[in-house]
Amino acid sequence: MNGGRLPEWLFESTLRSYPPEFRLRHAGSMRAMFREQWAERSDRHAVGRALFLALILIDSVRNGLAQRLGSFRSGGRRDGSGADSGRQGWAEVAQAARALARRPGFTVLAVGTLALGIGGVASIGSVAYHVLLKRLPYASGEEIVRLWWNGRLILPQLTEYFSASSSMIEHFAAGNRTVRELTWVSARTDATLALAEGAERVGAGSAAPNFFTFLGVVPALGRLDFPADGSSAGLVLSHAEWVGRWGGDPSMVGRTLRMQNAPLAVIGVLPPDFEWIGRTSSIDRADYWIIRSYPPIAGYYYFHPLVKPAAGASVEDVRQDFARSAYAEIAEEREPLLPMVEAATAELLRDDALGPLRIRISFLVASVMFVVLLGALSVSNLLLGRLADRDNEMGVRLSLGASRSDLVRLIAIEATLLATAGALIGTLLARSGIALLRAGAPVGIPRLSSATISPAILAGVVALTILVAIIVLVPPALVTISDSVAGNVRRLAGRGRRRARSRALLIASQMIIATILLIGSSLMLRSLYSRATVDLGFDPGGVIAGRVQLPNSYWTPVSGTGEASASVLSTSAALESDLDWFRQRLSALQGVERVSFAAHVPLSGTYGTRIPLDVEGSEKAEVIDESDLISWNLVDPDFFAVLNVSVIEGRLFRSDDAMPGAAAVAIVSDRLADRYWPGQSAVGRRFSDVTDEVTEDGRVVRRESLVEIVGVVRGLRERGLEEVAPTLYMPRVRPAGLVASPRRNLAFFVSTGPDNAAAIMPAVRRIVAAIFPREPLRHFAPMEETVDGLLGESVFYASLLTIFAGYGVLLSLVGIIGVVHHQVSRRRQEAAVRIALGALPREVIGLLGRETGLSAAAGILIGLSIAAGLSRLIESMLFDVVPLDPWTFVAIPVLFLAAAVAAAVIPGRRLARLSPVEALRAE
Amino acid sequence: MSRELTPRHVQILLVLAEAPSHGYAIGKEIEARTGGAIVLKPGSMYRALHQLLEGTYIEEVEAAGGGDERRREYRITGPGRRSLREALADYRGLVEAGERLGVIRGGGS
Repeated sequence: MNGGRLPEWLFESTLRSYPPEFRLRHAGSMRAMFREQWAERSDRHAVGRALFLALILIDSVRNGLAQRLGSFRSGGRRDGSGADSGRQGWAEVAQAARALARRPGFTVLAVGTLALGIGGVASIGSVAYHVLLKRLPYASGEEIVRLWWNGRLILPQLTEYFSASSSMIEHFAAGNRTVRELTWVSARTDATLALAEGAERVGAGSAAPNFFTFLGVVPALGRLDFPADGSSAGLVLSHAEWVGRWGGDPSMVGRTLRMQNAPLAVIGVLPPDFEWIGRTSSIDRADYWIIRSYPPIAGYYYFHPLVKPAAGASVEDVRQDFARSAYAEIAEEREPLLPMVEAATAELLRDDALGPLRIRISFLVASVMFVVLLGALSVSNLLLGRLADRDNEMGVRLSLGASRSDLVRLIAIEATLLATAGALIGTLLARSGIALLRAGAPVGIPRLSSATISPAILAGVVALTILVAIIVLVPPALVTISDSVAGNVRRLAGRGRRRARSRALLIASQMIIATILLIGSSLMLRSLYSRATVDLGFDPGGVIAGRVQLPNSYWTPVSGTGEASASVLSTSAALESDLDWFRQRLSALQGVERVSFAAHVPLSGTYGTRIPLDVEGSEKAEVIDESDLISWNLVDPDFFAVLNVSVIEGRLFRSDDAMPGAAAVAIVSDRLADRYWPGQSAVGRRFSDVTDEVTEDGRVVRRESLVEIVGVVRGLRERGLEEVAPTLYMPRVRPAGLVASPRRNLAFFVSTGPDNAAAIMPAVRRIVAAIFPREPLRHFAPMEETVDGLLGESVFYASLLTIFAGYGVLLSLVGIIGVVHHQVSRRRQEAAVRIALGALPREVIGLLGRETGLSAAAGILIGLSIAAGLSRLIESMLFDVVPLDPWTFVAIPVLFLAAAVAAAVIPGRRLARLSPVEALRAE
Repeated sequence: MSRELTPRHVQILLVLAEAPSHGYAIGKEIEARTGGAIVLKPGSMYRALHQLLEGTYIEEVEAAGGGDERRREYRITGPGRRSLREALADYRGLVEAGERLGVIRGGGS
């Protein structure tokens, strides 16, 4: 509980419970007194303060309500004189506790309902707090700005997005006017760590020598800031890795490890709680940080600048400064890149890293708040029901001289006891709740592991408990107060009607909330279903895929190209003969049907992009942003057959497309054909392609040649489930003389019988290990599993919301049953008389059910309109479902209303068995 | 009239009988006098003060430096002082009755 904002706000809101004229007169003084009392306890432990705060708030609301009741003359109680007020209070609490203990069924139900709701809020709230709200754990963390440059870099045909080059950063560092501190970090990736037992891929990051100092990280061991002497590099280990793999050996500092085939000395170990939340990552965490200073080099854009703005400089100032600096580099032709629109971007690290999660997590928090609200309303409903049964008890108390305010106080104490018990159990439940959330959450949520029940969360629980107690308390309290207004004679009748009205309101509010939850979860489920049944454009069934990086030994450096991208030349003969051997061994495995190679694995998250086609006879397309780019893959002839991709037009690749002297050919997806030749055939069209070729004297020259499109295939969802990108396929093996791009990925696909995949995987792994002993296997999985993995996130949100909605529906239906049950007991006599006079039981049930049905229907309608408004907020989380999905908005409410009517009829059936004699007995 | 005074009211009047004071200071004084056993929170304090104002046991005074509503001070009135005396006399009567009946031991501090 840091700072004084929340407590003050809470106190301020309790002042609303006082009558306006009281507030006008005393609110300022009360505020001042609160501030002083609160400040006085600033040195206390957080839990103690939270407790004190709770007592102040309860005291304030209690007195506010009492003041509203206007029972001044007795000071709220008639027997107050003489007794110590504290002790008197405890006696009342004990009395209320005994009353609750006498009704164990009611108490367990009420406490359980509240505990589930509060536990849910505490679990999800602590995730929200730790992931979204907590300050970034770095020195001046909230000020850190991430800069990047949205440009494109044109290689022969590849386009890359990038951040900045070390030269850009160097020049910006020297020439800026808006930055007081600057560092850089590169995207985390996996790197090869050589170990005695073989190579292994480990999570790695790379950063400037001042990166950790910039963040204010204190090493657990050694140092993290390698002297920036220009040539040296060092390795920093994560604490978990140091303890886990290296046994926490202090002599690790100074040892040399081989990362990416280069020796690096370990210089330090990070503290256990360090976590880098930057979103520049394709992997979840980095266990090895390569700390290195780079000389200023242009053309390599692997560096993400991080800065702290100088005093008085805004994020926008920094952005403009950076843009100026970067445009100057390009104008002076120091960087081979082209800016895209709004090329320089600057964003607070907090927004950049956590922004995308904000809507998702807030959505969960809102949903679970609805659940707790619903729970509180249900308990209030139960309490209201109890009031009727306690008429006698209350009557006796009144005749013994208790005032209305005494009764309200009793209800208030009961509500507080129930809410407090619910909060205590809920907080205990929240521990398991958080563990479940951590286990089930999709990867890539930073700081999730730090989510715990912290003092801030406890303070939130206290505030929530007060809110819950108030919701529980207000309807029964209002009924009791208004009873005292109604005259004695009309008391019974008047109270009955008032109660009926309160209950109708409660039912309607419950239905509103349950409907909102139900619509939300239905939309998520529909979206999950669309995602799970999306047409991938290929058949992942029975296909195992994997990817290795081809070793350096297949490439020979070539000089004199002038282009960084063409500095290596494929010695394709050696590679192809090894790949033939690889293919043969895979094909020989029992159960393998086909084998094919390509550059990329669909859905693996690594797919090539390139600039648009330069189509013969039309103008070169402009690249404004990412959507103008196209996907591409280099594939073997069998690729389409293995993945069951259907051919729409033309032919597939043939093995003679790779023969020397063969014409350059390509295959395009239907999406790509539509983009360039809408309504026409793409087969036979040609586009110009730039390739690097080796001349006879061993030099590399860039050459433009025409490529002919020979076939059109169905588009695949290769980048993810969301999009079908226009895709260009070229043969993986090109005619000799062409320099393959330096992409050294080799993806392999093995199609097996439907049930063979799992059995074959170990054998495939052994073959890969035998042929590429030093290269780790990546994305190695049956493709069906990859697809399932992509569903993980939707499954997580959909299942949470379904639990909430299910619980919500249950609570509201139980509420309806309770109300009708109560009406039936109250109006037995009337019903029996009607039946005796010849009415059919069905008609009587209908009469009693109508009121409930109307409130329920009203609630559902209001809930629908609110849900329609809210559903736009979650649009970004929906897949292939419009927010106002007609099915969801019609079918669900109709089903819900049917369930509500059914719930109303169940207790009504008792009426059918009534006999007139019984009715008279009730009299 | 004195019957309307609860122990809380009496505590407050006892503090104000010495000198005018404001809400927070009254609370601190009561806390000190009872050895920390009674800590009046803002809600209880101001509702009690409100009741005492309504019953004209106390009245508002502009504090030195005036104008700042947060430093509003209260002063005991003549009727307030009389009612306090009556209430204390009532208490004494009750205590003596208790001693006579042997419920509590007399002569204490």
